[in-house]
Amino acid sequence: MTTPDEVTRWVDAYQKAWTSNDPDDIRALFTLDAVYNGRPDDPEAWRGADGIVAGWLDHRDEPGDWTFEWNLLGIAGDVAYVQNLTTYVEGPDYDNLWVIAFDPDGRARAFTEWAMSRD
Amino acid sequence: MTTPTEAEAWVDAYKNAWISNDADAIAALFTEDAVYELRPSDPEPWRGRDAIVAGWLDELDSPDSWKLDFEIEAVLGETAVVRAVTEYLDDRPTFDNLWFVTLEGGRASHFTEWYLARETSGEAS
Repeated sequence: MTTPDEVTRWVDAYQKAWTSNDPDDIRALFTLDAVYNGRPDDPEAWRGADGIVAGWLDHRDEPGDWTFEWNLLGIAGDVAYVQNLTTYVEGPDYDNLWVIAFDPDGRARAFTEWAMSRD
Repeated sequence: MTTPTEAEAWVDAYKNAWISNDADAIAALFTEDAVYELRPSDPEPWRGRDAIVAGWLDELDSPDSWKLDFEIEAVLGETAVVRAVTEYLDDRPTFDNLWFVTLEGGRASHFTEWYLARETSGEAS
């Protein structure tokens, strides 16, 4: 069972990695065989820790480009549902829903983002 | 606590209302003071059963223009998470849908939808 505290730690660590773009920070979020879906059933999902680090750095944001606020909708077993609002200094705001499946160590083994632009 | 069975019965009734576009069938899905968000953080949600019926009938789809497949992905307390795929038989794209439906006594008191169009192959992204 994933707890709200574990989800908070993970989302905090995600924001740290988002800010630093440090491969170790990114890698620490995911299991070795994790899948990162940029959209549901993403045909071009990033697979494995190396694939996720490469994809992340390829699409990196710079600190100061964005602001982020989030809330936990709920947890079912080891899957957390996180709603968030990401605003970009340039570009649209996004209402996002993250579906994060955790392993027992608190790393994500599957991540899926539903990103709806406010445009 | 909402159960997956209750959630499934609600989505089946939703599908039936989508087919019939019958005002009573739509009204029966929602509590008197329900809120229907057509997107997350909807600035103009439909508020109240009457407004939901009016909004629905204003934007109705013909019964043979779509196909909905769904599963109850999770239940978070009173709120069911419904994962759906909507295919349209006209020129609209296929949509991935995620609904958060809060149920009270079998009726929805809150509905929020995330939806994303699938890109068709060959389309520029």
